[in-house]
Amino acid sequence: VIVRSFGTDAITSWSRGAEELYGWTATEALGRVTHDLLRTQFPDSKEAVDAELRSAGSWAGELVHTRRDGQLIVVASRQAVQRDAQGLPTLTLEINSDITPRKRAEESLRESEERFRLLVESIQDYAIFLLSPEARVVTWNEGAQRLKGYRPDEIIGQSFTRFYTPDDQVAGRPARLLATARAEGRVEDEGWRVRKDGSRFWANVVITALRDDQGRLRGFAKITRDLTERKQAEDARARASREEGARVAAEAAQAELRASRDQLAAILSGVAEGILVQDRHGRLVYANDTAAQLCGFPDAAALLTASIPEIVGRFEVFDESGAPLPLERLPAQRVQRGEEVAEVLIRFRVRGGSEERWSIDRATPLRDEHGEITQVISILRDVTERKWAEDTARFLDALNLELTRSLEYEETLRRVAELAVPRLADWCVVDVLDERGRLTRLAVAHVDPAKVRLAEELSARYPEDPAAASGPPRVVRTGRSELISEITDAQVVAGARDAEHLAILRSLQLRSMLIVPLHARGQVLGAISLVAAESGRRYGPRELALAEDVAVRAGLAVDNARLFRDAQQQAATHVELNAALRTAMAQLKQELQTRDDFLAAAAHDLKNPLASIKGAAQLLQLRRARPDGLDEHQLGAGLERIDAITTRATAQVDELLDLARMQMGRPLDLNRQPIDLVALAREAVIEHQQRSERHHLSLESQVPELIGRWDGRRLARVLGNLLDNALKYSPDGGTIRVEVSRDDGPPGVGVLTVEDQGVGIPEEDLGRIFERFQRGTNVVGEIAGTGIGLASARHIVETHGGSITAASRSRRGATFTVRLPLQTTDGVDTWERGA
Amino acid sequence: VLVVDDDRDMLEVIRGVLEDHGLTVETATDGIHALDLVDRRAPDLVVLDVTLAVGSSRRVADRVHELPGAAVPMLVITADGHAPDKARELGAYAYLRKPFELVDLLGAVWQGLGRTSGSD
Repeated sequence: VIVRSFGTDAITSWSRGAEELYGWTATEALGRVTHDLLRTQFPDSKEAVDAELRSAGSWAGELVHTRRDGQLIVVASRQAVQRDAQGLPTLTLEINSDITPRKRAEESLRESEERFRLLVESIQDYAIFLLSPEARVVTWNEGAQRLKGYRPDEIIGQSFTRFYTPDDQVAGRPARLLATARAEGRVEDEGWRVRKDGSRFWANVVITALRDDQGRLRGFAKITRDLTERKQAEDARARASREEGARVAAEAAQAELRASRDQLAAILSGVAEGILVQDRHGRLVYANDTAAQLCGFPDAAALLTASIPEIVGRFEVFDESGAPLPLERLPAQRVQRGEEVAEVLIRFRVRGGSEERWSIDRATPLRDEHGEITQVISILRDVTERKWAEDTARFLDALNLELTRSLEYEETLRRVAELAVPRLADWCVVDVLDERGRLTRLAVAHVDPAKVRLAEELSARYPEDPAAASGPPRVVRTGRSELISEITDAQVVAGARDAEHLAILRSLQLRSMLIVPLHARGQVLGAISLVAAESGRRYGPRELALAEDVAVRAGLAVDNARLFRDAQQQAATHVELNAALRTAMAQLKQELQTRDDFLAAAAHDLKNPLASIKGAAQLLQLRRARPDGLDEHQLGAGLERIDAITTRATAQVDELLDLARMQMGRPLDLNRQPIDLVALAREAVIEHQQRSERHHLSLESQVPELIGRWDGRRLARVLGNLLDNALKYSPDGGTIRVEVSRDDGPPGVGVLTVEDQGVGIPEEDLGRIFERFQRGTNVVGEIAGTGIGLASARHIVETHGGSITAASRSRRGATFTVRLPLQTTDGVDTWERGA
Repeated sequence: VLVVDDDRDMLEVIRGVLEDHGLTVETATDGIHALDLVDRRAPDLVVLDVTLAVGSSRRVADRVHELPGAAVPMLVITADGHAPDKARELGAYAYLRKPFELVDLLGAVWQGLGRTSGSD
């Protein structure tokens, strides 16, 4: 597994697997450009791959890489692109698996096919050629040219009917032969055929239908042999026997046959192929030991003394597809009836539980001089091993294909179970360990869905005992396979939990089973169980080896899937982290900007009192330097002024610090003291009245005093801000009413209102004027302001547990109402109760 | 001389130093009062703080430039960092950044009134 940056192709992750495959360590590989490091040879071009990654998001294909040791390898590569939140490609994930051995095998297969084709082409004694499904000539070998006289360019593309005599063509013989070949796979025929020059020859013809894996007809192979000489000899002999001495010749032949029969029997008994000879009535007259053993008898003598029903009842026969095959369709029976029969592939098994065997059955008639059949020789060639090897190879191919199809390992394992049935087992069960180490059933497969449901019910009602001495729990515990070739009834009884369980288990006809561990990343992940039941199959070391092979492949696929998933998750996490980091950076930048702005504003605000102090001090100095000097009164007033400015500047610094706390979202540290709100309001009204002659400020109070535990300086600031605003936003003057009242609640609340007759606040702005830097839309650009005063007031009031609201009729003034609890809600304050 | 600044202390300091040097001083703490004084008293020179809490310095400056007769010189004082730009915008002949030296203020006022610095 390699992760590389999209665009630069610099390697950012290099797995253990990549180290093993390429020989470069992660330290060496990280940061290098993938295609430079591996000297990648692309199927078309790197640009083509990149283009597909960019447009489709993924690419799969074969690449040629150079390992660190210089060796070239072919890899199957799957690549996928990770994108960031904006959809831009960021990383490419690459999973490469070494398919060099498979490529070599394909190469050698191609070579052997090529050799075979050259061989066929050069054969001179047989015309061997291929026909298309429409019976037109597709290939033409040396022998065909020699036998029939056509050159390849004259005959390829032509219909094969021209090889037949006009009579045969009229009678439809060519079409009939093809129909038989199509139906039965193969047809053999003898008869006259016609050469290019019109001359005839006696031919033996075999036509074989060629089908692909899906059973579609792809054409026909036709092999033609010139038997003219044999035919002439046979005809001559027939003539001779008719004319004279026929019997003598026949008897001589018979005698010769008898003489050599014993010798022949001795030879045949040791032959690997089963040989059976039946007379014209179907009675068995000869069998060799191999044939007897195939039929379930210890030796030939035992078979020859058995009755026909006994022999026939001994085994079951099926055709290639697994359907029961009636005995009259066996080649020997058909030959007895005078049919022409090719070889037939049959499956059979001896009744009572032995495994199924595959055999090619070929029957040949022996005829007397009148052409009557006297005996039929059957040759049974056991192809079980070959069939097993072929099936196994096909199964593993299918498995490999399935294993690369999904990157979800649960899905992959489910497909393994489905593939195993019915080719390897009647039942296939996959159990895996969950994250808590418990064995859970991931998949159950059986050809019959009803049985799958039954198995699921069973495992729900009778869960597997994790400490069981056999079965999947033990295999997972020990990591070693388990094979039970023959499941005995005693074992079934031992495995049953109760009578009903036993009855169900018995009804399943369990015959044989094997369980193999599933390893992934060096740990046991689970177990695959294969069970043979109604098929009568029995498992042995051969099946065990295959099942272990399957488990290894499945384990690798699971590893790959998990690596891919982890890599994807890691990449996704990177993308998320990057996004979070970017957001944090943006916030930080915003906060730094706010702080800069704040500092600039703070510096500006502090310059005013500093300028006044400096001015006051310099005025004193200037006056002292005058001839008439500085009088006591001027000195006192100047120093008083400096003192007063300093006091106000300190309050201003406090306010700025509170603002800084508010901007950073920190609470205020209140300095609560008993405060009379009425007195506080009075002081504020007097001070602000001094600032304006156009305004009239009034204070109304329902109570002589209203005492609460509040932070007096901060409440003074709230009042100051509200009165500053009232003055500022009623530029044409008018009355400003301040009212203090008590709302007895409960809880008891002090209420303060400030009402002006100024420009007011548009209704749509009322909701946001208490936000920082927000101001009424009717005053922005008209009346200077920072948008901080009301936000600061709200901060102070809310820290006291109170509230501040605004009401306004636009252009008819605004009213601000502050409500402050008389009792603190934090329970610390007992002053009110104590008073 | 008309002095406009919303900082009362600054106003009193400026009034003190200018009166000490024989000038007649009028003061306003907001733009609206300032407009009124511009109209009623026709000052010979205006000292104007750029950032006023109430009423805009722009309107005060415009009104000063609208006065009939010879152009009335205007001196801008400000605590903010854009003093030269502000001064140009408002049509001032000079500016001072707060905090400033009182002698510089006197120098600038004499210059505006066409007298020589320190002639008093």
